[in-house]
Amino acid sequence: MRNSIRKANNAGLVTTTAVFDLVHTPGINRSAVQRTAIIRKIIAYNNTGAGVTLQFGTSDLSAIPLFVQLLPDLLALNTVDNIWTEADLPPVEFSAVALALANGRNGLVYVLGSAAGVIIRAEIEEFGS
Amino acid sequence: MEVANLYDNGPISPICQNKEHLAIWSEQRWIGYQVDYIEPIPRSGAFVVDLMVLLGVGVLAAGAQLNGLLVPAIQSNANELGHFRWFVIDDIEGMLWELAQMGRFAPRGGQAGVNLFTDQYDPWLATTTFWVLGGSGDKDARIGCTNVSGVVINQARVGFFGYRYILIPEPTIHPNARYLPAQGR
Repeated sequence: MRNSIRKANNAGLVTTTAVFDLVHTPGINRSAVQRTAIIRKIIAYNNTGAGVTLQFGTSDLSAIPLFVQLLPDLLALNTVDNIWTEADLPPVEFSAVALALANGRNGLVYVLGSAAGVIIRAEIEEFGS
Repeated sequence: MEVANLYDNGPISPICQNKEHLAIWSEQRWIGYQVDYIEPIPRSGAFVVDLMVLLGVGVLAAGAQLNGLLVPAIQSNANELGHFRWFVIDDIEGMLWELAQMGRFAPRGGQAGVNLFTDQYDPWLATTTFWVLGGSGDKDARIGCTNVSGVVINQARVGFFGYRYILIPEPTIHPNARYLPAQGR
C-alpha cells in the first residue's frame, strides 16, 4: 500500500524564464527525508506568440546546479489551453538522491522553457510518511 | 451502544456504560472512578484548533516545529474525562504530550505523531486515541507540530472528536474497573 496526498504546486503560478524555475518543493517526512513527488497534472498558458517547449525535471547537486530533465519535452502551443493530465504524464518520481555533485538530485520539481513567458500550474502527488 | 476496548480498530465508542467503573492512569498512579454520565463530542468546528493562532505566530517555516501547546478546547473540568481521537488538516505532523511533558505514542525509538497520512493507514484514527483527565494539578494535553509540507505554511490545524465522561471519584478501585491511561509512561 502506498499512500499519498495531492497538492497544487507550492510555487503558485510559475512563469517560465530563460533558466529553470522552481515548480514545487516536496514535503519532508519526520526523518527529514524528502517525499517522492509525481506530477499528475500540468496547465500551461502560452501567449508569447509562438510554441514554447517545456522540460520538467529536477536539479543536481553541482556547485552551480544543473538541470536534469525527467519528463519528455512538452510543447505548449500558443493561445491554446495546454493541459496534460495523469493519463498523459508518465509517473516519474521526483526524489532526492544524496550523492555528491552531478550524481546527486535535490528532488525538487523545476521547469525549463525554451522561451520565457509561459504560465504554469501543476498538480503534484506526494508520497511519504 | 456498543462498548469498545480501549483502542478498537473501528468507529469510536465509549469505553464503558454509565455507572460502570474506571481506573485511570494519571500522575503516575491508578485512580478509581465511577462513570456518571457520557456524552459524545462529534467532529465539529469548535474542536478544530489552529495551533498557530493559539501561539500567535503568523507563519511556520518548512521543517520548523511548534512546541507542545496547551489546547483549551480539550481541557476537562475536575472529575471529568475527555476521550478523543484526533487528526490534522494541514500538512503537519502533530505530537501529543500529557501532564505538560509526558510524550504520548512514544516507544523507545521515538515519538509517533499524527499527520495527513495517518487516516489512510488507520481510517477510524483508532491509534490516535487519548484521554484527558480533569482535576487538580496539570493533567492537560499539549499538542505541538512539525511543518512537514516542505514550504512555509500559515495554518496548522488539528481536530478532535470523541466522548466526555463525568466521573464520581471512588476511594478504591472497583474490582470491575476498566483501566485506561490518561498519561504516558
